[in-house]
Amino acid sequence: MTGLLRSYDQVLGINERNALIDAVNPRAAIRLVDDKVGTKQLLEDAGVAVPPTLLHVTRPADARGLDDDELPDAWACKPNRGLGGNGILLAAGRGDQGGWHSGSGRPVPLDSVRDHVRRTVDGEFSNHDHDTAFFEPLVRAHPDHARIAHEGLPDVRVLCRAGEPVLAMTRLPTAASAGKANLHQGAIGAAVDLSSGEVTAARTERGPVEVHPDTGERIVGARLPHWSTVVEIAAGCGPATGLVYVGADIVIDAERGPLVLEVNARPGLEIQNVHRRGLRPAFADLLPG
Amino acid sequence: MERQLPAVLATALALLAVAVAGAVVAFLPVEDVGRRAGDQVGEREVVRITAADGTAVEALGAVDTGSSASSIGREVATELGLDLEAAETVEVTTSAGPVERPVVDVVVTIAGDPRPVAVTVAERGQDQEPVLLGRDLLDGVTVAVGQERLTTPDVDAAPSALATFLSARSAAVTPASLLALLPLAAVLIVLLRSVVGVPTLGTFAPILLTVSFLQVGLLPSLALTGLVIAIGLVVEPVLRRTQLPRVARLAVLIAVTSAVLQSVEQVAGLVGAVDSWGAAFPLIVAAALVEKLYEEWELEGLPSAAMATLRTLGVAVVALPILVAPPVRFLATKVPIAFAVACGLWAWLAGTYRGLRLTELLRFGPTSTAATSGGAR
Repeated sequence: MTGLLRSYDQVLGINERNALIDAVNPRAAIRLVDDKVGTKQLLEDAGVAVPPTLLHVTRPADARGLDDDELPDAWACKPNRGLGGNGILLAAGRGDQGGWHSGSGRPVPLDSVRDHVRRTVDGEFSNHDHDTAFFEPLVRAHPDHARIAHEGLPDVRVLCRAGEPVLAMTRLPTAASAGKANLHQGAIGAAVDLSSGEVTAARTERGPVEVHPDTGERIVGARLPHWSTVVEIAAGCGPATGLVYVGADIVIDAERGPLVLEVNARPGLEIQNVHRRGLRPAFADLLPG
Repeated sequence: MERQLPAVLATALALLAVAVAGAVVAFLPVEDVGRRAGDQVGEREVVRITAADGTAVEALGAVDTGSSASSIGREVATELGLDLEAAETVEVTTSAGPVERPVVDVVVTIAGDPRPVAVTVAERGQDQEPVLLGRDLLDGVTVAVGQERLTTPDVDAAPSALATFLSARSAAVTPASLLALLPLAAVLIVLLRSVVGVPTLGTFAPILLTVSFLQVGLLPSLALTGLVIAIGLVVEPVLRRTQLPRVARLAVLIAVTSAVLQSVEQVAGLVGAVDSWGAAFPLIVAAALVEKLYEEWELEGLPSAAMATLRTLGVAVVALPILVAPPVRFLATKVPIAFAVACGLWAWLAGTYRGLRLTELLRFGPTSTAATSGGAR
């Protein structure tokens, strides 16, 4: 019995994680990374690669005045303080009758873009009364990364202690996750070895997998491209923002290479199951009490 | 990194303590809690009426100290099998003038005390209690103003938590004692979140649901909550398609829910099923719950949203018997301020718990197995 109980000693639980965040992540830094546009600026100044901000809409009036020629052929529109990937609108190319079309070919007319931006600015997708919307060039995953995913955009989460990477995993969308890279929605979490960029294990919430359930492509053993750059820019996020318990969300763009999409001040704990390794030892000396 | 207690053991101990405390509070024998001040009854009490042939009926009686004699409704008399045609009559003065009423000899048992008495048989409306307890039954009894159901016919003590829990009618919680009970409900939420790890839709929404359960009774409340959620699930998608901002959507949802609830109340009022649903039910909570439910649905899918809703209702139901347990009601009534302070301290203590939540043992099972098989040794 004691042995069984002891086997949880390395696991970091939510209560302890919350206490850790309170103890080591400065409030100002947490507020800062809630502002994605501001965070990107800060990272860029620190020499960390991020996707450029094409357009930043801060007022409802600007949403109405939005025009075709202000945007490129393919872009992503995001709420600045969005939660959990909610409220993201994507355009993959120009439409036949003006406007754009989505990745699946569905039309994205200018009017619906204006409407989406206005609702974003009204705070529909964030826990605030008011928000802003920003446009980025659409990220297209590097073929070596896209190969082991299905639809959607795969990303890499690197959990760091300040400037030091601790664990890395890649999140691969599945048909079950509807193209989203969220583990609790059915995406695959795959453990990535920090030194080599090789996938060592993979699982969904249901249990371990070796191949992608939708494509049959082998995941375990795959190597992620540009890995040393991924680790390097991940390590830059903590020092640039002042966060100590920090998660860097990175995409590997086919043309631009690894880019930090956002910095997370409250990264989740599922990475422990993906690696079958507890986070507690890495942060034990920082835990209060 | 040696620790004195493994996180899991601490979790198990904490949980055991909570379970034991909960069980003690919920199922403690009724005994004499709250009944030390001698014969005390509330403004409404359940009494037993026994006819000469031994037929007995239990019914809710309203205390009326302004009335010298007691009376029972015609339906109660019929249930007792009394022959009203052959009964003596007496002329009673009412606001509508003098009327002839049958008089019958019965035994009324109130708070464990059987009293032979002659009662008149009167027409009592649907929304009136079937029995009127006059001064001839209240000799030597103190009436606790603003409280009710402090006794059962057999025992001079409050009904058990389970009985109150399952009763369809109001569980006798006055606004004052409700105020005193809220801190305990909040402590329960803290324990469920930090120690057990049950995520709900909205932090304190379950408590407010519990409060509505207290007002209306469990089964009608659940039906009512289901109804509000059903209304919401019909109205919310329509509202989402409009250009309305969230706050306006919420307001429209509240208005629609209010209109439907009042309609239900009127219908229910006709059959006399439940009193004051609309006023008792925390409408804004229910509407906000629907918003959250719908958000969860959009973000995480229907199964996840349905589970979260069930957990929220589950927490509200679990909290209910603990809040109406006689010892808890006793403390909340007799020493409300000290009780609130104690609850604050408990919440503080519970908030310092840093170990694994119980549900995390399941969630991090894969990680722990690795720890044992991968072996530190």
